[in-house]
Amino acid sequence: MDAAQLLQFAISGLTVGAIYALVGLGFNLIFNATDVINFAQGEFVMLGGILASIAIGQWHWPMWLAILTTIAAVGLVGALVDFGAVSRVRRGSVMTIVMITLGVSVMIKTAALLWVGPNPLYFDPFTAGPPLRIFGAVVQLQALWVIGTGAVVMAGLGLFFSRSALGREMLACAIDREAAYLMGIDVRRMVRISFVLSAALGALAGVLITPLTNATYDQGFTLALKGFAASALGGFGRSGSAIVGGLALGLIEAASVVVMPSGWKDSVALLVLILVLVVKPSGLLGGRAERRHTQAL
Amino acid sequence: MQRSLVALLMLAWLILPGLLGSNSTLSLLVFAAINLVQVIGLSLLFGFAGQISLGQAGFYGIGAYVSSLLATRLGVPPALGIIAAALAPAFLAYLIGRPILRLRGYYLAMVTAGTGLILHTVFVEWGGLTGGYSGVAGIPPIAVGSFAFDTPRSMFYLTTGFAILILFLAHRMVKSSYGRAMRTTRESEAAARSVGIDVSRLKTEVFAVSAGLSGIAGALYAHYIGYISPETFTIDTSINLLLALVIGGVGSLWGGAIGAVLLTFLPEWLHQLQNAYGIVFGALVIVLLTIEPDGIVGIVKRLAETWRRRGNQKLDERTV
Repeated sequence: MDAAQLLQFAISGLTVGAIYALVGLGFNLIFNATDVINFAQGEFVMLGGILASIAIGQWHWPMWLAILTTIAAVGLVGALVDFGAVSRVRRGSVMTIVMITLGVSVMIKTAALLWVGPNPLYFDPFTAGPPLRIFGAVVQLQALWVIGTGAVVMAGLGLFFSRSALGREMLACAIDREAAYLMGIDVRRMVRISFVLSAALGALAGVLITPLTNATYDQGFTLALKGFAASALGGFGRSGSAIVGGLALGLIEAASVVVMPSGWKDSVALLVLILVLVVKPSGLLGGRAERRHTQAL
Repeated sequence: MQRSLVALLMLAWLILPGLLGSNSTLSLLVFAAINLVQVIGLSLLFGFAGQISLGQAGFYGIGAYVSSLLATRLGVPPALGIIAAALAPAFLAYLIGRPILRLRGYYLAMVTAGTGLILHTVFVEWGGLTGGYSGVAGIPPIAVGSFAFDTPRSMFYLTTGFAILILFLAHRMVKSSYGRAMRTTRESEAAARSVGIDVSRLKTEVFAVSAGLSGIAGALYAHYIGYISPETFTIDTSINLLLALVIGGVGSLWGGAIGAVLLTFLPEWLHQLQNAYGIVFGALVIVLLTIEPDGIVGIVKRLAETWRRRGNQKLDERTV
């Protein structure tokens, strides 16, 4: 394999890796605020792709408006998921939460199927134009959009959590909910916001990737698994590790396509997840604290 | 009293196909029985031993493919193929169970879902063996001697009879000391260990049993409709099985039975709404879990309890 091919795989790996990282961050946001793993996380990504496709393709909205509206609308869905389902069983067991978010997932997926049918939807890349050639590698413009937006959003989230008052309040909840509550932080509000943010992140991931891969009503769960894998690979509960995990997963998938038919690539990523969790449940980057965390989950 | 009730139920079972007349309802009952075998397996694993699995459709698929391919490629009689269909997924589950079942909660859910997805990929991608997306066609019906179970009516007796047998055996299992060990493991693994239960062995064994039951269900399904393809064995199937169990009631075998019947009949009852049953199904789960964690069985129990108490109250008033 020469340098051009290597670059090609690196870029396609980073592109999907950025998507997984965004989904993984979405998991982390909600998990940090509530200890809930939202099994409907992938449906936010699917909704993002489908809503944007409809707004652009059928309603002929300008792209920026369609994208912003999509992200806002899915954010609202996130709030509804919290309000209508998850917050009702906040004190429930882990299994109750798994079931209820699976129920939400099935509902959203069915609604999408009834609304747009089983066929894949898509819209044109953000900017038209022929693919770039960089050192012999062919790079789709949309891939650059994915990587670039992903990087900007992740950096923005980092700033949000370290600099803004709201972000720091959310972080305080993540570290110790009771202490945060005693400090006068409105924990309920933080939880709601984390659902909205998480859904919006998912929608953004869906919007970014749809021009490259299409959007279908049933793609959500696989994406959720990959996003979870991204978070778990790095070690749960830390945003930075979701990014590392996501990119690693993307690169592994891209590399797997070299040695086996592309149909297997989902399996390769999941096999890596299973092996890592079985060998080291705290994730590759996790220390002892996370290990305890995993066992308690 | 109880013996006459059993006799009455037996009679109802025998004459039911004649009363129904329509083959489509009979066919649904066959599917309900097949689902029941699977949901009972899941009930043992999740409801009694406390281990979640989102990968049952993978084992269901292994059973279906093993029995179908043995029959179509090697001419193995389906009655024998079903045994292989039970053993193959059980063996796989036994192999992967020990490492996987060390994980808990969310992690176990995701890892079993991943296992199911990988198995689905195998069904799709191992085209030379499984036929890829087009699947396996021309699967012969189950036959014993010269009698073939090739009508809804004969399959009704076979599958419901088998489902009742499984229900009975599962009942025996959960009432035994092994069943108590399962429940102890569910409540607290530390406690289970402290009384000498080999927790990881128990979890692995129950996982293998549930996978084996899914495998049998897969074989029954394949030989009944004569055609299989990967789209039957998706993560959706696994999720629906689990949600069905939750709707019926996790804590009892009856809950599993009710869930299996609902899972089969709900899409039919709601067929005017096309695929909307997913919305009803999801909503049912959310509503049930918020009011009664033990599903329909829990609600029925609670109603019976209040009713009984009210009766007692009246009795008390009268005695006063």
